[in-house]
Parts: sequence; structure tokens; C-alpha cells
Amino acid sequence: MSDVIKEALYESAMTVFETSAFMDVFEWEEDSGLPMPDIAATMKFAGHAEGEISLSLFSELLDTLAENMLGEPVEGPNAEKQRQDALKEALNMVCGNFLTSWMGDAPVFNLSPPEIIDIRRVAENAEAAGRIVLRLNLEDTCAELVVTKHTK
Amino acid sequence: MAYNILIVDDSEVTRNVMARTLKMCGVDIGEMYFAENGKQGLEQLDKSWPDLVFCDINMPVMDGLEFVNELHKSEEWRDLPVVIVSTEGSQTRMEELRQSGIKGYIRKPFKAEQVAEIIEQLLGKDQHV
Repeated sequence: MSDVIKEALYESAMTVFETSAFMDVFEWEEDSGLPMPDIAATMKFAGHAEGEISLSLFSELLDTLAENMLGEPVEGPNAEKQRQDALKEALNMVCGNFLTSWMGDAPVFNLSPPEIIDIRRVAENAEAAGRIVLRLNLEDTCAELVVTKHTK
Repeated sequence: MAYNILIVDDSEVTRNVMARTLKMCGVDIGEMYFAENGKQGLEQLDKSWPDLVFCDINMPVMDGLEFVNELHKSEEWRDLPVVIVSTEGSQTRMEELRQSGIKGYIRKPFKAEQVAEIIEQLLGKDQHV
């Protein structure tokens, strides 16, 4: 089952990052020495299945992500909000695509708004039982997707 | 004649991505108006003349479906075509949207050609540059 979920996550991440931000996604290789994530966003889903999905990135990549999504430089007093907004929107798209890929196109899900969270909370979730963690090579940095399924 | 477009979405990034996509999709776009939720969208309609609305579903204050329901109560705007822009891929949800009068649906992430196609479908292609 975890392989099915990881495959759905990988395909969703590829679709989102390549289409919306022109960024290449590759499989993660252990001991690659790439910069690790230090900022994260999370959102909940409820419906046919209930749970939470988080996306963690290396914060310096957020400039490229936001600039590629917006098509303009990210600067000025609104820059940090735009970077965080880009991360949240990327997660929102990954989540929607992942749920369809995982559960098919019949179930309806209610999604909570994405929010920025402390990266340590993701690490705690990732170490707990029942969580599925997928690491990716995103533009030569580590990106991490964590799915937690809640029991109804 | 160019098409005026209202974009209703609580995400600034999504509003900007849609605006950028509209500029490069090959359709003659005139004015673009922006709103962060359905309530602001209705307020924007008091001072603008859009030909089409691209609207998110999940938004604070007033969501996309409430916004569409309010449009349907309006003599002036009941025929204004609304295209939902969302990450959701549920066919069940899409059928619900169709039954509530939504004219189109674009799933994120979207490409410029998808945006152009739905504008052509709803407004026609005879006014293209």
C-alpha cells in the first residue's frame, strides 16, 4: 500500500512542480548531501479518507518557486508572504492531485486551507508509525512529502 | 473587442498565476479585476463589467458556490459565466457544480491552452487577436 501512495505522491509532485513552476523532480538518493528542508506547510483532508499532508522544502528554493509561479521577481515588503503563499499553493495542488490519483475521481474531499507550520512538527509526524514519507530531489534540494492517515 | 475577466481567489499567488496565464493564452484580454473571496467578488461586480469569472471553491468569508448562488439571484449577473478553478478532481463534485449552474471547470495546475480553450468554449473565438 505504501508503494501505491508513494507513487501517487511522486506523480502529483511531478505534475505540480513541472507544470506550475517549471521545476524538475527526481527520485531522492540517500547520502546525496543536498540541502534539507527547513520550512513546511500542511493541510488536512476529509471525506472518503481522513488525514493530513505536508510539504517541506529548503527555504532558499522558495524564491525560485515563487518567482517561477508568479513569473516576476519576488521582492519588497510582500516577498515573504509571496514565498509562503507559493509553498501553500504548491501543497494545495499536490494534495488535490494526490487524492484523485490515490482514491480515484469519484470521492469528494473537503480540504482545509494550507498553513505554514514548524518544521519540527513534520519531523515528529514522520517518525511516528503509520506515516508515509516521500523524499524527492527538487532542483538539487531535498523536498519531503508526508501523508498521515487518521482513523475515522 | 477584448474580454474582461474577474478572478476570485483567496491566494495571491493563484490570482497572479491566472492573470499571467490569461496574458499569454492567446486570447485578447481587456481589463482584469481581482477579489479575495465571493463577497469581494460581488462588490467588484458593482463597479466593473466582466465577461467571465474564474473562481476558487474554498475561500473564507464567502466560498465559490455561495458566490455563484448570489449571482443567480441577480437580474444583472445571472447569466455571467463562472469557471471554477480548483485542485479537486472529483467527478461527483464536478457534477454538483454543473447542476448548480457552473459553466466550466479548470483543474490546477493548469496550462495556458486549457484557459484559452474554456474561454473560447464559453465566449466564442471570433473576437481573438
